[in-house]
Amino acid sequence: MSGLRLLAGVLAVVTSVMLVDTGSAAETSFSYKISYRNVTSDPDGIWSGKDLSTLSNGTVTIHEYRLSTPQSEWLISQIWNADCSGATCPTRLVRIEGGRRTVVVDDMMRQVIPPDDPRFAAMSRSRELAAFAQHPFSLSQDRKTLINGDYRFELGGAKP
Amino acid sequence: MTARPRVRSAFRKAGLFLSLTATAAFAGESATSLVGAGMPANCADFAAKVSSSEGNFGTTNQYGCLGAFQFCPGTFNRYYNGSAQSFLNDPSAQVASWTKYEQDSWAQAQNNGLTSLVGQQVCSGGQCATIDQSAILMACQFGCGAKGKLANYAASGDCNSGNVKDGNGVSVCSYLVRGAGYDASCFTGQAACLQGPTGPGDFPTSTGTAANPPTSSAASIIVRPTDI
Repeated sequence: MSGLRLLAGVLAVVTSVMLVDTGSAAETSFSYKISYRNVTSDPDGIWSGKDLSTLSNGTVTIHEYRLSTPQSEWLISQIWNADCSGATCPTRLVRIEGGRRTVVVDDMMRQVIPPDDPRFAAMSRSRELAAFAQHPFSLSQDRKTLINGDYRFELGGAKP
Repeated sequence: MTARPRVRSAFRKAGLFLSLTATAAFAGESATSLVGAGMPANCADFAAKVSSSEGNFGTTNQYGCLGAFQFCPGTFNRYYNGSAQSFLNDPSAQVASWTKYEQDSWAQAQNNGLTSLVGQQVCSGGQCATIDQSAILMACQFGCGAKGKLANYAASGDCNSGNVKDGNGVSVCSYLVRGAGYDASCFTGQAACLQGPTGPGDFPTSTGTAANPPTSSAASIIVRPTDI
């Protein structure tokens, strides 16, 4: 019986730690904003020129996520284009302050799972998969690191 | 009093289950099973090498990537028209889709000048290799775009630079080394030029050891270390 009590105690502690972790992560997680499918240009102007790198049909798909903090607005734009690898696509983190945009991370990041894509809707989901699908991007508490699944990107290298 | 052994047994069974599922998740598909799904036999070893770090035909990972080659949502969207479940249930479709993906990657590598790396020596993690077609395709898992990791390496030649590493800090060079030495002609459309040892004096540059040294009595010339 003492073994069961011990097990129950451990589970309670683990659960409470996970709840605390989930709560703090939610504060800095990006929320899905919009997708532009099969477009020939970026309506929000994050990608242009050679960076658009269209697919053979001349189009790209762009997914956006956003986060509001007291200091700034943040936008993530991921482009599904010819430069994607099997698992990643070009992605930019943009900080918006007073209408001024600054690209603070520009790298290959894990492909998002579009929340409105019916082909993925019926897919059975583990807890980890469901969590990633809902919040593929978050900022660390100190706002110095962008977290994308198991990937980490230091904020910096400002590119107005 | 009987609860403790039951708890222990439950943990033991859970541990065994987890270790078995972990093994299954990372095993990948064998060359034989890939050939069975339509992969040309000469390229099956390379395909199995890629699959070994990806998954099995029925695998879905925590990022929504599907199948033996882990097609993530954007790639899946580009190369397959059915549902995620129908893709998981169809090994032939996975092989056909991945073949097209590899062919496109090779074309993109050519367009971006990345195939000029072929023939160069690359070292990573204490291992060295000569870059060939299969090495390029393996490294294209980091992207073959004009601003991708492989393009950054082609520009700098520096395996330790931050811009040749992924979000986990893994260098594209480790994939160049890992992918070298396979027949990838099914994807490149070019005959493989593998540098296997074929006669006396031929040796792989990664080891520096002669593969087929003749006996001293059969050798036409003997070079001692002191002669160099």
